[in-house]
Amino acid sequence: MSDTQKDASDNKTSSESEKNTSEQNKSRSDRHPKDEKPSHPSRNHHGVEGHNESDEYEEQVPDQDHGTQKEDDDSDEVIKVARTPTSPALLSQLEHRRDYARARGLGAGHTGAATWKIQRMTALALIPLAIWFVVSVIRMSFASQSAAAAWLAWPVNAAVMAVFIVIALRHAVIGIESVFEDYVDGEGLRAASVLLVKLIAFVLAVASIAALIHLAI
Amino acid sequence: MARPLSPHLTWYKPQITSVLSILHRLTGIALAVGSIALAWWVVAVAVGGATFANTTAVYTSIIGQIFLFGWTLALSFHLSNGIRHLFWDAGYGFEMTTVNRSGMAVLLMTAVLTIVVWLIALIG
Repeated sequence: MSDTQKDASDNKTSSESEKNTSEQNKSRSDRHPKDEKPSHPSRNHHGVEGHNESDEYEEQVPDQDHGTQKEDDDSDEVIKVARTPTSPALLSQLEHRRDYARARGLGAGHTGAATWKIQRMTALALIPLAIWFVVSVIRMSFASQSAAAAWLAWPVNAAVMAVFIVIALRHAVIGIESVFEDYVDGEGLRAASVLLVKLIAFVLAVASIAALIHLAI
Repeated sequence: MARPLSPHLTWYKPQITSVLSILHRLTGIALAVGSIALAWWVVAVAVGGATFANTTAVYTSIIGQIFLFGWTLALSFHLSNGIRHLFWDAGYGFEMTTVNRSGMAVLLMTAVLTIVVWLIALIG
């Protein structure tokens, strides 16, 4: 194929596409004859007011190929997205809000970040308390009852021991609960197990504190 | 609401990271059980008499001493590895070399703490 022939064929193609374009425009206006009639004057004066929304979305596909009309239709489209409740942007925003609300308080721990935080705070507090406990209990491990009673009756020892037991049990309950959440199948059995562990921890704490008070007075 | 459960332990190839993670849970469970023994001891001191004598007899028996040694080991490990976890929570030590090294440090700390505690208990 010679250069001249090629040019000629190119010209032919472009003129054909122009023809197609004008035909498409014609057919589009044919499809919406009502929009162009003076019985709907609002379209020209108030932009989108008179538009049929479902038709607008149909038109978007052929519009991609049109240079001059594209800008006008794009600005139309922006307004549509903001106005239409089913727009993807708004929909994803609403879905995100719903999922966030669902995620809060409905994770494995049911209280989410609060439990995580308490677990870490009690862990931090237990570092010095555990060291104190180990050092103290070594000295008490072979003590007689009177020596142990005298040691626990001293207010500082009694107070630190009470704090240690309560914080350790709080920490233990969260840990055991997370183990149950991972390995106990069935909502009812899991809830019952957690409740039992909490009850045992509560009884242990109350019994220890009662004993410490009894020794102190 | 049906939510998936965690995969069970037998699925994983043992590594220092996974083994220490599993041990953290196991020692945590052991220490939770141990809290009963501690509360019992405090109550026994307060009650005194035969209750305290029986408690001391159980705790100083061979089985009792094995349990107390186990709880010392568990506490040493859970304390050391717990500090490691708190560093992770603060955002430090996530490089694999650091994770492996801190894991070894935890094992060393556990051994040292347990031995020191029992040396003091038996000698002092």
